[in-house]
Amino acid sequence: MPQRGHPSQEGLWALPSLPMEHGPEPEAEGLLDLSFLTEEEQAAIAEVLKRDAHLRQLEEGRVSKLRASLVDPGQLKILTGDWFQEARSQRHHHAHFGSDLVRASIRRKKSSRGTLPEKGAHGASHLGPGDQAVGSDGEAEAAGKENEEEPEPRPPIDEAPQERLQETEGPDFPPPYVPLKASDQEEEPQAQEAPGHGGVQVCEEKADQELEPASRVEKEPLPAPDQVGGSGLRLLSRPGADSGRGVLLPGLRAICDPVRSGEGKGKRGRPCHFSPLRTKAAPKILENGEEAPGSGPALDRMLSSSSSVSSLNSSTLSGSLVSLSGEAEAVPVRGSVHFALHYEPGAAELRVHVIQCQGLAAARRRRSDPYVKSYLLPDKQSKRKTAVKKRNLNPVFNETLRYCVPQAELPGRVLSLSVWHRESLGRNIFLGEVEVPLDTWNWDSEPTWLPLQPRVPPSPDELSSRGLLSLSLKYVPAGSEGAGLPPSGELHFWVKEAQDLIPLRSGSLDTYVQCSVLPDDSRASRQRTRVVRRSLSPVFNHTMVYDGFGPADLRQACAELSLWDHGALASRQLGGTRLSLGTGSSYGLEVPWMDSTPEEKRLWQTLLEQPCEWVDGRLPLRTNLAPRT
Amino acid sequence: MSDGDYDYLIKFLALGDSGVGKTSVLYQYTDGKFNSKFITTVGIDFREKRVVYRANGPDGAIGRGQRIHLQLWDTAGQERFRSLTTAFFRDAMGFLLLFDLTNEQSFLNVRNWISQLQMHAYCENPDIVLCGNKSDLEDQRAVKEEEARGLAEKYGIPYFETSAANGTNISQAIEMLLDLIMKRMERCVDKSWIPEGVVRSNGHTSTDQLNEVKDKGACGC
Repeated sequence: MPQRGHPSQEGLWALPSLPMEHGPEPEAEGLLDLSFLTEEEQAAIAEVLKRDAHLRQLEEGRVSKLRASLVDPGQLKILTGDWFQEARSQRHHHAHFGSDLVRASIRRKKSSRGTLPEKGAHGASHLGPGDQAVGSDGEAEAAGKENEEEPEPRPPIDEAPQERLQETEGPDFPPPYVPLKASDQEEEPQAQEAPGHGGVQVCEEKADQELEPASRVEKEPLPAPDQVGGSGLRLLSRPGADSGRGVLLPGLRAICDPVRSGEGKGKRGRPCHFSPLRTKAAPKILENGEEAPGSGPALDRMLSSSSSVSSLNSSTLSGSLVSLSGEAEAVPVRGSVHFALHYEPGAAELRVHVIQCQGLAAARRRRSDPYVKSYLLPDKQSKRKTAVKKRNLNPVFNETLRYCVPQAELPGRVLSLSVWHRESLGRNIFLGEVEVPLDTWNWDSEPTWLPLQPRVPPSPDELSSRGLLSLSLKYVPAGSEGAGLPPSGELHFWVKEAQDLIPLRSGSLDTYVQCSVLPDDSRASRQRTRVVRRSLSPVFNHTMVYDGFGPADLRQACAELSLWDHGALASRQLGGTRLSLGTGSSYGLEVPWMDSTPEEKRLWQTLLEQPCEWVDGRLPLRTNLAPRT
Repeated sequence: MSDGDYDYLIKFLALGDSGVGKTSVLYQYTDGKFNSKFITTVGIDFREKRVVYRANGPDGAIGRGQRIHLQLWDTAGQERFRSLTTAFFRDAMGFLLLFDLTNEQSFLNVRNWISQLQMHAYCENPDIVLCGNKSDLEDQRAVKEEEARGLAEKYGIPYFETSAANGTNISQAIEMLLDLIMKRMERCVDKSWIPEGVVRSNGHTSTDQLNEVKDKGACGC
């Protein structure tokens, strides 16, 4: 058979390496195994995904304008691409774009290889649990408040007192980058008719091949990036207090401590308290939830909260750390913001031209007094604000907010633009926000419309809990102990005790604590304490160490510590705590388990900010952990 | 293509065995150029193009043009990228399935590609246009036109014999696919405000893209 060029030598259809060959549901639940890709191939693919993310971002802006300006549902369905999303969602239950799945898969591969470039050299000494010198609860709390949401109002730390701008928000810290997605049914914002700009031009101006969702995170003030030598995670588990490390295992292996290995294994029951979340239900719940955050049972709200996070495909949600809980004034988010970005190399200045907003929600009796506020994340001191436009749902600002920032830093920054109603007699009211990762920004683009996004609905404060778990955490960056030790970033858990446990029926409990650092939920990486029998205040005093974590990984990870009642035949999960940034996504994929409460987020954030120090927490053992899948 | 001023974002995906000319066909369509050198696609890529879809009223009058932004995904045909490329199937609204007229095996594999699509695309019967590429190499032809046409008919999909080298039938094939999508959308909302259509492209190519392609039903060749 004559052939030209490069003949196809395929015919390999039956290869077992095709993970999606079988079954009616083609999508792999998890990430793809892309370990076969070379670095160059990864970089090339990353560049394509970046272009795609940019196109999608623009598409999202276009679609949100359509939703506001068009009334004909049929026309809307076609023009927005909803017809496609609807058909697609009947077949593919998870909404991930192929791009996102691949992006996350590449990211995972990178992280497990430990390609973080920098190497930290820190003199901070390694404090054992016995030293217990740092991070009292009070300190942790105080540090956390710098960054995290709070249920109660508080004076903003960086606001001049006379301004009385008591926004319900705090200065955010940056979320991991989740690319904006086009038009899912969940699309919330509605803008009014507005001229469209926003370039579709593919963004190719940046040469850097960085695609990892967490890339900019590494530019955070976290002082100890690491150099990870080995592959995979090393897990050490040891009873009691500080002991030498030194067991290095390749891959995902756990060393069982003597206590644990001495008792019955394989007796874990898989907990399943909740029916799977239906992401389809999210939009409605979200809207209602925002209208009336105080209504509904705690469990429902928690579920709706986490499902909303996982279904709303927006980068803005992941960074939303602001509690609107109890805010009677909370208004549904809608509308768009029109802005342009320009970098002036001469002045080393980023100029954010805030042009106007369209279709804002009315905060008060059909009016709002809006203004726009910006942060150049992760810098939390970077607040800029426009003037307030009174009685205007379509305010024109035409103001330029300026940031003095070296051009080289831009790819690590995220511009947050939020719109607020200025309330003269009370707290300002959040009207929506957008977050713009500058690494994918097309600097040649015309002024852009982006739909305003809501923030994460609040986690209820009155979570039912099974008791309290006392623990300390420590993050030891690679190389921070000198002489290249530890070889990779280590995450130490010191599980101290549980208190005030509520027994199941009567009497007492035989409990142990199990730990996983998600997204790795493999059995091999689970670690447990010993079982403490017949106690409602069990003392475990057990440390566990996970390694292979760069600072950026910590932002994508979630440490799940769960308390189990040890049974002869099966164990039963009583409650747990999830320590993470609670962004709803991990390595770019939406996940239900990044559902940390404000309290839990605070502890994790403190851990990130205080490497080499034990930070203490006393957390409710929640009974409403969202199911992992 | 620097602004978001369009009416539809339509996503297509080209697939088929390695070396059949997926990249070349898309390049010819978007840029009007051909490079005979074989450069294997690394996993996934895409190209973009603006076209105007002009709707004909029932009376034959030409309606307002619909501005369409085409995102044309290009996939690696190589087996080693299969899991990666398959992940993109679900995000495409229509498919350009190519084989090489001079390579019989690539034609035999069309069946497999179609079953892949039936499994992984956004729905079970997505719109597909079959292209037998390299029609310029008539002396090396290994697949008879009737054979290919028969297969296409069996699946009820349009068939074109294309040449990325000289541009034959490239835009016709893609615009046929666009037409199928536009009609599908129309059916979706059970409303005929997008009537019979004509595709008019604009973008990188200069001369040949303004040729209006009348809707020709199931097969355009």
